[in-house]
Amino acid sequence: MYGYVVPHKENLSQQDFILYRSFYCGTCINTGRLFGLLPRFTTNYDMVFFALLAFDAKNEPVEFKETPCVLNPKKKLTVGGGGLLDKISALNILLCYYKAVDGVVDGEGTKYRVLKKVLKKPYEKAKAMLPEADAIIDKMYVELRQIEKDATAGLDRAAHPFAQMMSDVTAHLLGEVADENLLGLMYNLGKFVYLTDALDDKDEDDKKGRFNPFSVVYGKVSGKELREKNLEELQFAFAVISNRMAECFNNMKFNQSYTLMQNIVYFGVRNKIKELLASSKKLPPPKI
Amino acid sequence: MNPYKVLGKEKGDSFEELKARYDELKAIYSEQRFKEGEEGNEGAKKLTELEDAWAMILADCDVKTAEEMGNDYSKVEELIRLGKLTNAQEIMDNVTLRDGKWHYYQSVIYYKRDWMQESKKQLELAIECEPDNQKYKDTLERLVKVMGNPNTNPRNMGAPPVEDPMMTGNCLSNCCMAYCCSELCCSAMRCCG
Repeated sequence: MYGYVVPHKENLSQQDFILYRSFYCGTCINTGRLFGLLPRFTTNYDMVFFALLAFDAKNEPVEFKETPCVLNPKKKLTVGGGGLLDKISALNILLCYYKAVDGVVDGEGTKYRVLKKVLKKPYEKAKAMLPEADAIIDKMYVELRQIEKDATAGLDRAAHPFAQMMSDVTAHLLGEVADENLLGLMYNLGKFVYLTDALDDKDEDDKKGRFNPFSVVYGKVSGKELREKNLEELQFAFAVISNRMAECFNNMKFNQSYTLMQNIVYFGVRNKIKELLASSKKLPPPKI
Repeated sequence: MNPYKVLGKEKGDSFEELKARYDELKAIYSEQRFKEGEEGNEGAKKLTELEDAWAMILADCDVKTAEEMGNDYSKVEELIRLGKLTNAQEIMDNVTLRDGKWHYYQSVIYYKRDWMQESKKQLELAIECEPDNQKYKDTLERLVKVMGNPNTNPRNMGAPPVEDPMMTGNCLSNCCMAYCCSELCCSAMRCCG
């Protein structure tokens, strides 16, 4: 996906950092084991948060082992594979494949065409593993295309299909442990990712004549001007998302990774919003 | 399932009658569900069945226009409370006269859907219709100053964070602690030796 959901480094304790890295490396290695070497590069921070949340909600036993990595020969602590991690890897492949297809439909250069080709086979395998999740994502993109075609006004409406998809996929993968708070958290997480990505890409979208929810509401002004003139409204739009996430989070019970997820929900998301609203350029990829 | 049968009523009965029967049964099952064993399970099952039936009845009742509805948004309120937002929205969509009260309830539905911007817009419209309504103004102020405030303390949202020792730290805490302690012991031994 995108990599906007990250922990806030200044508030991250050493043990939480190791746990976070273990999940990141574990997801990456597991993707490699299931789908081959190349698709490993689809691993991203947003999915790590989802993995943490899923393991915690199901109270799935976390197995740690030391594994070397092609990028770094030093052995690192990673989370071992298992039923749930396999599903998360597959879900990530599905999401990345659909994003690549979406990019190709939008006529976005060779990057997405290559990605689509590389992910074609892994996608078939992932689809066989999670046919229902595939159907949910497919349905979401149909709705999204309709919204783009109609140029639907309103940030809430535009972000709804993506947000609802995150919530539906979670409900499907986690079954009955997914209560209204967990689903509310995922809904707002999806909304956060969608709107952050949209605001981040606004200038590029306008230049290429693509749909952007912010352009529908505020017109085709530059990202910088948009932030200067409508800062208060933008702050409201993003604050409600982060505060709702915190509200859902506070209403939940945790078994494994409370402080790490608290760091992400309380500080990571807010910090990203601050960065996004303050910068006039595209955000650099995060480094943890 | 015939929802009226669950309440032991007929389709033609008045809304007030149905509501009274629903409240009565709900009180009984709510109490029964905390009993031990089979009886408790039965109570919980009955309660779910009752809530479903009630939502169906509400959706089934003739949709009134605003003139008839007057100030009576109790059905919408009830549906919102049960989380049946789609049914509540259906009733709202059929109302032709959109006054302050209508905008207020629409804003509540949007709020429950996590559509906060739309919710804010509806509240502003409600205040435009009834500038003196303190309830609307208070609600808007809360929405902007708490939920829409980037500086709200995240700890104060929803239930207060649990100060349970099990929930502070992650599942590595124990390993880390163990490692540190053993490291400490080892170095101590080396010094002594």
